[in-house]
Amino acid sequence: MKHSKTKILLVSISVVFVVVMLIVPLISVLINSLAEGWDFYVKALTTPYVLSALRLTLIATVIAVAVNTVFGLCAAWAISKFDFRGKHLLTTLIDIPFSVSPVIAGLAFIMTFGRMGWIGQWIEVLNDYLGTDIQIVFAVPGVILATIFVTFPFVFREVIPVLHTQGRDEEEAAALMGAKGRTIFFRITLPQIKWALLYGIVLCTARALGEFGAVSAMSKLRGETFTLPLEIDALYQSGSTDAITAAFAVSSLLVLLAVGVLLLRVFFEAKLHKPS
Amino acid sequence: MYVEMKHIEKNYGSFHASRDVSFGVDKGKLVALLGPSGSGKTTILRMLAGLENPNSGDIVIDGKRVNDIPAAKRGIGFVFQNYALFRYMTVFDNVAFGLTIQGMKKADIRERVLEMIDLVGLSGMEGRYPNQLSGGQRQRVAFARALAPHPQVLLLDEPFAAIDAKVRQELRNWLKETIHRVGITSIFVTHDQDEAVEVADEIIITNHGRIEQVGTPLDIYSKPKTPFVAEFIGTPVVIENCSVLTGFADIDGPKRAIIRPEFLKIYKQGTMKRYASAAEDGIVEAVVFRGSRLDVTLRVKDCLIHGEYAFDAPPLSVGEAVKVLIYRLHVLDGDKTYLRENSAMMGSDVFYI
Repeated sequence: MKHSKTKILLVSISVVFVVVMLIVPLISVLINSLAEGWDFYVKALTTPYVLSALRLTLIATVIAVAVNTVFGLCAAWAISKFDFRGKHLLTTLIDIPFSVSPVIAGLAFIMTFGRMGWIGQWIEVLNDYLGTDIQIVFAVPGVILATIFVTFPFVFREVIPVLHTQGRDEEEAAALMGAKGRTIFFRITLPQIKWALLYGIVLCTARALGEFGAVSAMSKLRGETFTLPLEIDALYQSGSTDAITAAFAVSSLLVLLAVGVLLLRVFFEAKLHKPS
Repeated sequence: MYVEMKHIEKNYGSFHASRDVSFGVDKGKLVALLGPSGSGKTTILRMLAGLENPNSGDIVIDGKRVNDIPAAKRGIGFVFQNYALFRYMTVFDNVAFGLTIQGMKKADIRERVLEMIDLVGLSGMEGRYPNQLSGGQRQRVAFARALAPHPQVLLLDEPFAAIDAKVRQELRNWLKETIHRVGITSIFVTHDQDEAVEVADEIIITNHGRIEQVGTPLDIYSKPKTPFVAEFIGTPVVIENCSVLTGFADIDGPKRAIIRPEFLKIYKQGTMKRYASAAEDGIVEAVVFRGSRLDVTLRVKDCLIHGEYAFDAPPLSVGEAVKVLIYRLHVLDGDKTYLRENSAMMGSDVFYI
């Protein structure tokens, strides 16, 4: 039967592709990371550079996810519940991080927040006036800003279709009975978007953990402003066999984090699409 | 008048949704806002509720002008078209919501909620979620939720639209009876004339943002004031020149007229005993079985008109020549309409029932 031949062909292509492109490389990361034994693995993960990178990665991720959750909720709420000029433009603009290369985003931040940049100049003025030394570019705030930039559409994108399909009726009904904004949000809206919101947060987290390009442009100091992906790159580029094995070890850490996030994602996705 | 709208105008951008809308509803009455979609009936309901604001005009409830009173303070119970039940709350919490917002005591809330759930016949289902209920049950919950905080006026937006035909009939009777039992002034929106005629004490007919006629179902049915109402109510057929028909040749002025199925009777050849001179010759063009009756399309003097025929009478076949007696029709005269009887029947001394 032609039908079943097509089916076998399509399924085989998909499976082979996934195995070659995803499974084999990921397994190779895990195996290579243990190439020089468990002790080496543990040592590779506990160097000051790696610990610093892990710390910064987690800080940047937590802050980016928190900021983008609040921002995504505000934007999605505004766009689905109110009518205003420029609504479509705003929706399109929020998608920019999806279409712009992260490296370009990093460079744009340098031009904006660097010493010569538009906002950077004002920060210099502020520093002179207050006697402080706030740095954005090539410092931790820059890394965090870059992470926020590349991850900011996720929560918005996940929440908005749910808000759209649920309509305004329930909120209107609650408002008619005298409920105020806060009550409406926590008792009506939040339960509706809960799973979509958590799913958006998971996607946002996964992306924040792995971001390389934009952060790379904003970061120069290994051990201070390097995140895990940058640290892996630095280890790998150094070229010695030990360093490459160490790069794999650190990579395995990210892979494990990613697998954890993936499991959460599967869980939330199932909740999200459960008919209610 | 308990609820009143006076000279209401409402625009959405360039769309004129309400044009000089004025009407009044007496206390305790159940009133239908009836009109085709886009005729402005839902806008009227939403303005009464305070979900929309009119551009000009006054809205009065119980003698108070409420234009500047926010929706939540108007004492309105609102049943949404899709009920808008809170899907993450149980039936109990749905009905309790308005009372909780008002800061009522817990024990009082419980008492009132159980009373309402009992009123709508859903006792024992307090713990269910909306998705565990049938369409009819959801509507009952929406009704209970709207009534719980003791509103002055109950507004219902297309209350039967989301329910399948079989349950709808039962719910109509139930809603009518329950509203009268509670005694609350109620206004509902519908595009279904059968629903309006059956349920409402009074009907307000809207068209293009205007009010065409206000009256009891009988008034609207038997004495339409405007051509729109005459054409909208019942299942009418418009005839361009009615003076070609026997008994209507002496009509002066406009000749456009409306014939409803109940304005005529179909006789098989040779069965007509009375008024034979007032009847028309017709040809059966189509016969559709409607369960309790047959809908017959007839060609009479080049006009296609519709009539009804008893399903247990001697059968009609397509192409058959029949006699058609047209008792009366609505003549459409500019923005007015009047009823005209068959003058050929007048001469006879036998009164037709």
